[in-house]
Amino acid sequence: MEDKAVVLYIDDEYLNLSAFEILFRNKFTVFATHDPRKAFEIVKKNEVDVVIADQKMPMMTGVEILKQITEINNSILRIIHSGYIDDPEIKKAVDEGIAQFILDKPLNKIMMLKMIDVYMESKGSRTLL
Amino acid sequence: MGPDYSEKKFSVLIADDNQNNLKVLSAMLETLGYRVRVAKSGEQTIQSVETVKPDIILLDIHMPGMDGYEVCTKLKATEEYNDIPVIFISALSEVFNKIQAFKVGGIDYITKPFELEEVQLRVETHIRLKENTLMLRNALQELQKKEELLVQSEKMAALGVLTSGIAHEINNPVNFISNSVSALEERVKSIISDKKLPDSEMNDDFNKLFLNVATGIDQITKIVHSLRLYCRIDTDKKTGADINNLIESALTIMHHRFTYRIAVEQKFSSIPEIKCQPGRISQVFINIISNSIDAIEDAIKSEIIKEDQGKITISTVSNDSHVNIKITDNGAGIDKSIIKKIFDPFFTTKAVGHGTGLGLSICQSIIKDHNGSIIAESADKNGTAIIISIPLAGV
Repeated sequence: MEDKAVVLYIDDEYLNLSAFEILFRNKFTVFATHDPRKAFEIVKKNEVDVVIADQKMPMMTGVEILKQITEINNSILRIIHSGYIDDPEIKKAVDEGIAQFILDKPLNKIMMLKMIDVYMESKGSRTLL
Repeated sequence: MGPDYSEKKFSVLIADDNQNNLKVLSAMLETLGYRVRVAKSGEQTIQSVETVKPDIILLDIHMPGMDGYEVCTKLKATEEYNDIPVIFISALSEVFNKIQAFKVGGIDYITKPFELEEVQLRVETHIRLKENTLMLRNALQELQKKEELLVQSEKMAALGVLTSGIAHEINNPVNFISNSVSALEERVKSIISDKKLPDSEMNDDFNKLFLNVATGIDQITKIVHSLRLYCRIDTDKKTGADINNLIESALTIMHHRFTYRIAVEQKFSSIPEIKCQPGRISQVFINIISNSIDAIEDAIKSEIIKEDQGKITISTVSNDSHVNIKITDNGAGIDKSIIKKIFDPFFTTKAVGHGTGLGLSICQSIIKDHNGSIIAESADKNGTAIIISIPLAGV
């Protein structure tokens, strides 16, 4: 049996979480939450392959969340999701390797699937449906 | 390097039909360093002023043709010449109406026979006064220009807050509409290719997805409506508006700043429409709500309140004469010592580079333009209330 990639999606807007989950539920095992603390628990308790985090959030920025995730599990593919391409915090995060990719908002589905596909292939252990 | 007034040669126009007087006064003033021009009649005086504008005029009253009073009246009525100080010259033996002299705009008078030193001192004094007044007027104009520039930059900054807020607000619904439509597309395609009717799970999905799309479109519509208020902000026409709607519009724009952390409570009563400039009134609310959010974020940082305890309450109520709006927050509050100053232009408690300090003073002038009032109350370190009152008659 081919395993689906495990994707964790973090966004403060409920409808974003809902739409993402419905759209990708057949392709991936999807975890979706607005709460960074829940996100950290999910990473601790599951073998998460990919994290996609919205940058503009009230409690912690997406970059801050990704930073903490690197400390829990450094091999996860980390993607920042944002409408602000000029955000200096994002640029710095990419430079430092805290975020490996940036996904523009609104979501470009094909680009995201490509990113995950390439990553999963390089990992070798699992493949996408 | 500005003009050096110590080197400037001031010019005096002496108007007198008496040749001797002219000689004596001219000689004296020339030795003192003044440039002297003379006129022997009222008409000549006016012509001389039109040819070379003097810094001061010594004006005899009793001259053939136009007398001194007439000349002075004419000069004071002309915008270009009315700032020239006029000192009347009169003979003790003549009838001299002091009141008349000052009424027509004369600034001083000297009586013949004159003491030359007195003449000299009076001329000096009045020229100095005029020069100082001119400098003050120029400085005032400079200040007014700078103030206009700062108000413009505050408007630009406010516009920046607006546009970045709007961009963010629109991006989110576009994002989930896009994802929802993608999901719908996949399901429809699978129905067509499998030739199977949707099962209950897919029906549930369809319901959720269509609802997402509808909600997203609603959100974007609200934002566009709010935007329309600001298109007209500079030439904001006066029109009837429901203040409750204007507050909701401001909340829509600021939405991204308070989603999970700050609770917003609306206690709106049914209030009549008020004739106002809707864009400017909304700007007031955006500014106040923005300040409240800042105060709450400060309070959370200083641990005065917990992360999820931030609260803003907005209430509206009307009586026979006014609509009253109260915006309270449980943020850091305003110290008693400065609460009277917060509406002063350029007063700010923020660090350099964070705001011009004009926001509240602009709010106050907008409310004043609507014949209303705005005050602030704060219970020391814990919460602020801004109370706005606008008459029903509006602007």
